[in-house]
Amino acid sequence: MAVSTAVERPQAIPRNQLQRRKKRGVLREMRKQWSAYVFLLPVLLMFGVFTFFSVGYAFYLSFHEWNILESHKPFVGIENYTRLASDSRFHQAVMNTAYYTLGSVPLTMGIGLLVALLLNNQIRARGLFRALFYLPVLTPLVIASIIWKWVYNGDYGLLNYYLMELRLINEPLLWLSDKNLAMPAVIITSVWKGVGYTMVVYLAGLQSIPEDYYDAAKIDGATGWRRLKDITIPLLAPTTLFLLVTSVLGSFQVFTQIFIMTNGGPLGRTRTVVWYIYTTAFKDFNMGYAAAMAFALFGLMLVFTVFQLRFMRRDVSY
Amino acid sequence: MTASRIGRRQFARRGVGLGLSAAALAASGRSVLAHNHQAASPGASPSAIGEELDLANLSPDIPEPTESVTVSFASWVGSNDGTLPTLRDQFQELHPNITIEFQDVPAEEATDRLTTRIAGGNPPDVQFLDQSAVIDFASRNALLDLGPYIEKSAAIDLDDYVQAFLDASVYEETVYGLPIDGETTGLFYRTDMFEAAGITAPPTTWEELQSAAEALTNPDENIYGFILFAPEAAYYWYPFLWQNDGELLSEDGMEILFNSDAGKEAAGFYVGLADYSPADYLNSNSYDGRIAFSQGQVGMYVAGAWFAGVMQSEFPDIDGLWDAAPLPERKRCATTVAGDTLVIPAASQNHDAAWKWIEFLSAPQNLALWTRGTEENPTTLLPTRTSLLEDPAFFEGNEIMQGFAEQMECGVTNTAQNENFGSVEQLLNDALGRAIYGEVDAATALDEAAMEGQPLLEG
Repeated sequence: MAVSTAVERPQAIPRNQLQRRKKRGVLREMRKQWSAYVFLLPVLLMFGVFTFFSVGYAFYLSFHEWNILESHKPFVGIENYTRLASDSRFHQAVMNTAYYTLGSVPLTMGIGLLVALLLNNQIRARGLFRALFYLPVLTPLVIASIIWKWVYNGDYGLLNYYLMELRLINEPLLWLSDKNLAMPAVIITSVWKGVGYTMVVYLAGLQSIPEDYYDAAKIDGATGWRRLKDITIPLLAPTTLFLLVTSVLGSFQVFTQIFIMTNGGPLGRTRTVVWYIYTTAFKDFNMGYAAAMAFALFGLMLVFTVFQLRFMRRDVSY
Repeated sequence: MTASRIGRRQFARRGVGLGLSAAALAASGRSVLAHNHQAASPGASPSAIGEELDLANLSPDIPEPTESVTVSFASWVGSNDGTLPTLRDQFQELHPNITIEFQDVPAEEATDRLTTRIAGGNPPDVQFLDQSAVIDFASRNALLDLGPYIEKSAAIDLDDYVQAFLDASVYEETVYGLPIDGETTGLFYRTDMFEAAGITAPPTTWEELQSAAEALTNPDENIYGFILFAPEAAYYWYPFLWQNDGELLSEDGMEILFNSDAGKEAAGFYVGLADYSPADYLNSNSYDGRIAFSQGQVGMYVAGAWFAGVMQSEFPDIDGLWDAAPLPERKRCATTVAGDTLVIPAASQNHDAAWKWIEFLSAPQNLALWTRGTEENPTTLLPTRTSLLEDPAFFEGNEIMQGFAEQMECGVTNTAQNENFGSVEQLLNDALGRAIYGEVDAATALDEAAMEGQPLLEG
């Protein structure tokens, strides 16, 4: 649509008239393609009710006090937002979420890339390996979390068993009961769960790199490492950016693993922002404050996303 | 409330897994009923109490619906349990215009689901609710005042209910729920480990508890005397608080009292038991910890009566190697009671019919049936009515429950007359958890929780 109006754009027409004409053009185009909109309607309705309306309502709630069970919702101005500044539990939750993000995102992406590079080679049973690495992605997170809870058991957990067999540790580690190991344990589970996805996306990225570049580099005498560093990784930049943005957004919202494996403990070391939002809303019956936290989280995510797009989006063209 | 009995609810949910035989039984129960219409009860009630009641007409002054109505019943015990479907069939026969629709909801989601359904203006007509959540909802005007109905009922006599259960359903002197089942907390212990350590009887005092825990503990062999769970620290600390003559809050629910000298002494003792507890389970919960008991890793385990059911059904191998005893005592006896309650959301549509259903379930003979369970699938629940608790017939063939029933006179409930008690309980739980992890001493932890919690109580 934009293309066609740009082509027609006559220089002499005043600006407001141009805009009107443009609008009419869009409407005409919409009328012409009405069937597409009919097909889009269900999705748009769903989006409208469950996303757009909900977000708007949450924004409204963040300026009110509401216990969800009664209808009365007194207006409290920005009180819910000012409370965020002094709530040490919220600050702890933000720090824990940052810890989780810094731990899980680089590992998931790094290991995913490594596995993708290996499985991009012509090795035997490549399909089988790809399927195996992807399997955790298909496992429901709740079930994976329950299983990992037992893997981490200090007394008879599998992880301790193998670590002891390999003589990497002498004493069983208490993973989920140790205040310093609980978050790493949650991160390991998340990495295990997420590597399959980053692998698949990186594989798609790898397959879109033309072979010619590698052939040319080989003729020029570039080693495998040089080819990886100077061709593969730069050409994967758009894939990396996509994964980085989505993974960071996802990790900011971590909840299920925490809820099942540690329930925020020990000593609140695994209380993340979404966990805190949930307990504030459904255990303390404080919907307004929970909504304000949700918007604070949204603000953080927005800042990080803009930052990443600004600093990482470089057009890679060879 | 977050610190509530994860274990009990988890086990209640396990009933789904055990449900096969129960479903088969329900089917046979129905066919018996079909053959024998004049049968007064679906199965033989374990108690004769209530026989004189006219089950079809327990509250004549409340009009029977003239057109057919459907009463939705949200619970995690409905269609998978042997007793309730049978009781429903009987109820529907007595009330031809009322249909009971079971709506299943997992136990751990029940309160969240009820919350959102009330917010959405679409609550169930009757909710089977954990008793610790009743005041959360009642104090926010979400539940129907049952007083006017109870007055007209031949089946409900409030004086017959155990006070501790009733307390959990009363907010500002108004009754919002009918307690349907309950349990007390007891001390489970491994008889084999006691024998090996030369202990002849379960401890009856704090001092004996501590010395038994010490005698059993041998970290080199990974054997411990006791087991603590920081995420449920407050809930399992309460009996010690009460035994030491301490109180949680003032009676009006406006003042924190748990950081009294008695409270601090109780917390010091309780937190000290961490020395005899496996560190591996400190951030676990009382349901996951069952493994440690079943494997002989811990010798003593404080839990509700549900634990007996878990041991019997999941670990039959150690039958005869464990027993249950009343909690040790100090200045007085005290045990935490937990249970489930039937409530009617205020915004639901069929109050009269809903009342008839919960009244029917609460009639002594039906309450006895529900709490006793079936022969194939016995429960570990106790009746909430004194007349049944004092009826020896109820416990015939279920003697392990008799001990828990006798504890009922020591029962205290961990609910309070304050809508923000849940948040305060969470603070207390965090504080005790920090003390268990050795970050802070018990007395300081209680003071900190009290300082932060007091403004919450004042709203």
